[in-house]
Amino acid sequence: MEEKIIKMLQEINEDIIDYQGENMLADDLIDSFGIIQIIANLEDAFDIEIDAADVTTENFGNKNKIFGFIKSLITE
Amino acid sequence: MNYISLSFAIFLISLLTVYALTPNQHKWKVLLLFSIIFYAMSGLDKLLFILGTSLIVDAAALRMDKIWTEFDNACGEEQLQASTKRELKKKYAKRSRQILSIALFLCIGILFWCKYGVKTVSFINRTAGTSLTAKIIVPLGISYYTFSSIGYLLDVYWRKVCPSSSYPRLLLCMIYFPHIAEGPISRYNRLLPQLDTLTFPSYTRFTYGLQLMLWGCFKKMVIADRLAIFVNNVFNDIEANEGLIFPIALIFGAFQMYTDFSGCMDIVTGISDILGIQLDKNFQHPFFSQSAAEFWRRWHITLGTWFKDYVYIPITTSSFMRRLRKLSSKKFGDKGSKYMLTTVPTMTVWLLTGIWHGTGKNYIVWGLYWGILIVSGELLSDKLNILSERLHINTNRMEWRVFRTLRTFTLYAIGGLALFPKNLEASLLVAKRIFSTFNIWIFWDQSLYSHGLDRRNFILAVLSILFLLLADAAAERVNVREKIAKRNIVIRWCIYYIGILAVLIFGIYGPGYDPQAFVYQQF
Repeated sequence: MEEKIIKMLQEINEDIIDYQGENMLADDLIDSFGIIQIIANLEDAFDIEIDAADVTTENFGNKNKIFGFIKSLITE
Repeated sequence: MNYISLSFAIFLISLLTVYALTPNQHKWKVLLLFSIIFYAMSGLDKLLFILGTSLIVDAAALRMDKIWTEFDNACGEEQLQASTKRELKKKYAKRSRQILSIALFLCIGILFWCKYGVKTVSFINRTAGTSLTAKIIVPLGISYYTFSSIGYLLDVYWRKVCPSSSYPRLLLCMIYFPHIAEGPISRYNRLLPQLDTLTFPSYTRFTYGLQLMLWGCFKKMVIADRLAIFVNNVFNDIEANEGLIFPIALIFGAFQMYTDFSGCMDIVTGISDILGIQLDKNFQHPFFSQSAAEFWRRWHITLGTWFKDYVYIPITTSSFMRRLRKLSSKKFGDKGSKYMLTTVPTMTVWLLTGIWHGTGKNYIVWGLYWGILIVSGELLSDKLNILSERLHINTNRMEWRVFRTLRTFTLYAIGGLALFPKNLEASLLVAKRIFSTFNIWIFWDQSLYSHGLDRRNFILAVLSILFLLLADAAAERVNVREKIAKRNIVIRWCIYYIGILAVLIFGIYGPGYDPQAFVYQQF
């Protein structure tokens, strides 16, 4: 799962992989087009549905947060 | 009450005096009282509208929170299986959504009636042959506080924030006088905690706030109001003008809009800084942007983030969009899905942004113009990158960045074609008359100075724009306020006095002068 997500993030911006901060949206690593692309790719790859309510810094702040969030959706 | 007026100065001094003398824990009550007075001065009937909206928002937020608490209790009472919990959540979400829908319908309905009431009534009269009349009241800042309220309601519905348990505090967030007239579109969950930590204005807070207010006054009175004279003169009599005068008016118009709006933001942010409440940033030197998308991340930031959080993302994650993506993926492959994903939410947001700015067709055209620019910038970015490589363009070079910055500014100025003339027909007439002649001689035959600004004022306008760009360029690199604060007292106060004198000497005043209302107040 993590490999798949890393590949997706790399396609948007390679810097996301090394990013150590808490909010990659605020730190301009990813723009609005990037975030919706990631959401769409995640939904297609893992056959999940992501709600607007879930698009938060807590879930999409960095790659580890995305791993955790997707894991929680898959195991739910 | 205009933020630049004697009555507002008296209002502000009275507020600061009472505010400073009031114990910290009661300071928010002073702000609420003065904000109500500020609002009531725009009309008591208008005050009723905002009070009504605030009651709807408060009641709906608390009700939704209660429903979610019931859900938590239901989950907590017994260990539920994931599927059962999911079903239970759906049930409670439905109940919560019903409350949300009613509140949104009322808030948006009031906004729609105030903005489109006249057009709706005249449409009914035209189609049904009736002669209905309607007295439409447009409450001060209705677009701003309605948007903030919708955001608050959605955040409570999504459980991103806890609602305020105190109605007066929520009302203060809504009616807070520095942001009510022209924004920024505040997030109440960022304002509410600040009401608990209000303190006596320190020297630093006071001087920082005054600095920003002074800079805002300079932008508004020296630049924006001066440029407005020229811009209004040119666009109020389109038939009398032709050729290059219009591009000059469009360039001036671009700077007028920027200095008018960001000047107001500086004034209100400065006031709020003194009071100890940090407002959200609305501008980040947009004229240094290198693309249309970047420009709108730096211009009216709070409107952009509002649309992103409450329209763009919800559309993207909607079941409608999922179906559309799958359908276009089947027919056109991955590219089709990407095109759909990029185009539909962005064009919807920009259509709504246009409608938010005004009721005329020209605003819809203006919104679509930006939507198309941003979408095409995104969809063509890969191809443009390949083209740059083939043409051996070093995209990191200063010249290339300057070119892109100028291109973005030009696109913004061209967009003014839809905004400054009175309607779409007038916009088309301007576009036609730009190319009717190449009258370069206006630069030396003095005719340039016959549009409300004499030679001295025209040169002053150009010089102040250059000064603005220099100041913005400096602010891109360093914190100018801190730099000034670090200077010794003589230099510091020299800067302040020069600023005050510049506003007093070069500001637009004089007998019969009516201070220009802030442009974004009309939205």
